[in-house]
Amino acid sequence: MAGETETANAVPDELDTPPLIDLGLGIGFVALGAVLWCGAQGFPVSIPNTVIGPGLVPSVCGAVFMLGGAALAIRAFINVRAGRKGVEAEDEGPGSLMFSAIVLGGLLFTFLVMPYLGFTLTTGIYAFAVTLAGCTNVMGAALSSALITGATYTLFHILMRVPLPTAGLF
Amino acid sequence: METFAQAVALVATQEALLAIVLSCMFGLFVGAIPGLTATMATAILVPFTFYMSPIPAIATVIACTAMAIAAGDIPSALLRIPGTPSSAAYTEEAYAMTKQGRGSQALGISIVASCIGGLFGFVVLAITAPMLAKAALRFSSFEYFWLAVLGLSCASLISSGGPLKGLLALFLGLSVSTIGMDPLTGTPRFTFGTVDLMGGISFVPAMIGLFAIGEMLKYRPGATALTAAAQVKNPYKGIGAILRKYQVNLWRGSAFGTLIGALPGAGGDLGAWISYAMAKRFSKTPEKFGKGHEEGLVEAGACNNSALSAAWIPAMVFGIPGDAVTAIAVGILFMKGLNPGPQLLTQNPQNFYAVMLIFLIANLLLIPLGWLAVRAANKIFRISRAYLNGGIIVFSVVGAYAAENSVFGILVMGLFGALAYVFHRARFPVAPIILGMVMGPMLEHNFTTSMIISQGNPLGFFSRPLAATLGAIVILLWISPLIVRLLRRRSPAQAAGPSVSE
Repeated sequence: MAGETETANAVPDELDTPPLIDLGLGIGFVALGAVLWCGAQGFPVSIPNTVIGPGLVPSVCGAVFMLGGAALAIRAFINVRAGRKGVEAEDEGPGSLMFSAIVLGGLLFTFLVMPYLGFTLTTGIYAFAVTLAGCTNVMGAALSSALITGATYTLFHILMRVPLPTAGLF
Repeated sequence: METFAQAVALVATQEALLAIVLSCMFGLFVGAIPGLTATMATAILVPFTFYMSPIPAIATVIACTAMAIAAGDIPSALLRIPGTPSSAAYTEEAYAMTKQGRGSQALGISIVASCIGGLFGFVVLAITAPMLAKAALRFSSFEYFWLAVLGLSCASLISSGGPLKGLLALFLGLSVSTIGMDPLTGTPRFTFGTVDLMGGISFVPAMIGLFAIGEMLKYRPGATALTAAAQVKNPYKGIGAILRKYQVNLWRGSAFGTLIGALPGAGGDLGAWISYAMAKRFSKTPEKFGKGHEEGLVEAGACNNSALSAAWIPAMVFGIPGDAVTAIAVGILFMKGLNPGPQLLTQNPQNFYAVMLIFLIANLLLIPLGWLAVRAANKIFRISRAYLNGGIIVFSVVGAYAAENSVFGILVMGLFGALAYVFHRARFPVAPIILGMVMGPMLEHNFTTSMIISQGNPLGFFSRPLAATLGAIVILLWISPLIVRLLRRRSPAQAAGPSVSE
């Protein structure tokens, strides 16, 4: 019993990762594993009476996700119950969260809008938003994003003949 | 000799030489900027390789990474911020030297030791790869399966977040590689009726998302401008004498780097830490370490670049990448039809020797271009990261789009960027994902072929002596953490036992 207490005390109160994130990811992996496993059962087998076929590797991946995810979630749950907290990453904070949202939101915007507005306009707007998120100089951000977009378009589309999307609306 | 002449002809083209010089300069620039890694530099360059001939394409990756890793030492010494993760091991040492007015020396040691280390790795690669290739010709799907598992096991076990997180990241990459048509039966897997998914998920947008977008998401807006702690003039003054004094460290670092680089999954980052610790352990003056001493810098600097060269041994000979950069390179080799493996060395040796020549040129270019980068360091540091972010975004979008000529690539890049962000927060390693994606098809092909040969009997994987040996090594590797833990539990108990009775 004394040994158990000592072992429990030996675990640091601050963890590498916030346990709630690990818990969420662990559950996510279990769910993903279940989906993979179930999906893989629907694939035909190549050799009758064996498991060999297109479903074999996805089944193995699914099993690993379920087992590994469960292990991660259980470990995180124990840490949550014990009141242990994770060390905050150096780059965590509202500023970087807003920046991340702009970068990822911009990618979604580009995916949805590029077929209609074309490469130059869409990417120019996106680059401007990302540059502006990191500095306060609006003119500088506008100029630099216009310059880099124009240079990239010239290099890839005109010189290297990459078929970048052109505007569908106008 | 004829093969070598053919290799020289492949490299001595305008396209290849221009690719080498431009990628070297780009690698130096990116490596010198804190927060931008060598992997990110490579990821950004991939779109350019689509439109190049095979040899210049691979030259781009080799030259860029060699330079970026070496240039990572510049902000380490002048700003106390490691430019790339490989430089982190000796940042304090290099910065302490700068504070003592020996910044030029610190950078000179880093660059020259990197060059020598890189050349050492190149020589080992040139000698061992053809010998290994001859042996590899006798490998069957069983051996290839175990080799791939061994490489992936090392990658996940050594990864930064611990074995469990490494394993999950690796299997995520493997499961992504199963999306699309099954190569043996043509059955569509997890395509949900979408045409974009029929051909599978291209590794290019995924890799750009993980390494370019993922790295960019770590950026903190509003960071203050960077100013170097000293102005460096001639970094090579008096370096010869220092390297002669610490030649044991130089060769030991190079040899150790080569050894660790050849292990799949280990890489230069880990090598530099161990090498620095080793230099301190064997030093006659360990008390000087951390206070601006050259010894550790020589050993770890040499280790970095020799590991980089040696990581190409498993990549070229077996098609098994050792780290994220070689995973990207293996992907490019496949894309260009230069399928890595023993056949590359036996059937097309001119391509292999051309790659060797590129290594040689890139490492030699470290000296003059390193000098330029050091002189321009203060100007490079003054470039606002906010403006660079705009450039990274534009290149990333072009790369993701051009991979498949479809906006679907941009969506894939965004999803993998978001994944990298979540994984960064949860301290999951991202390199095993790309290793899993690149090696997934090879692993599945060899696994399924072996299962068919052995008629579904798992013991068939141990039927050949070499396969059995490799299998045993893999199993031992996986149970070793458990054994170590058991031994650790037993040893304090044994130590406590007698003392209680006493």
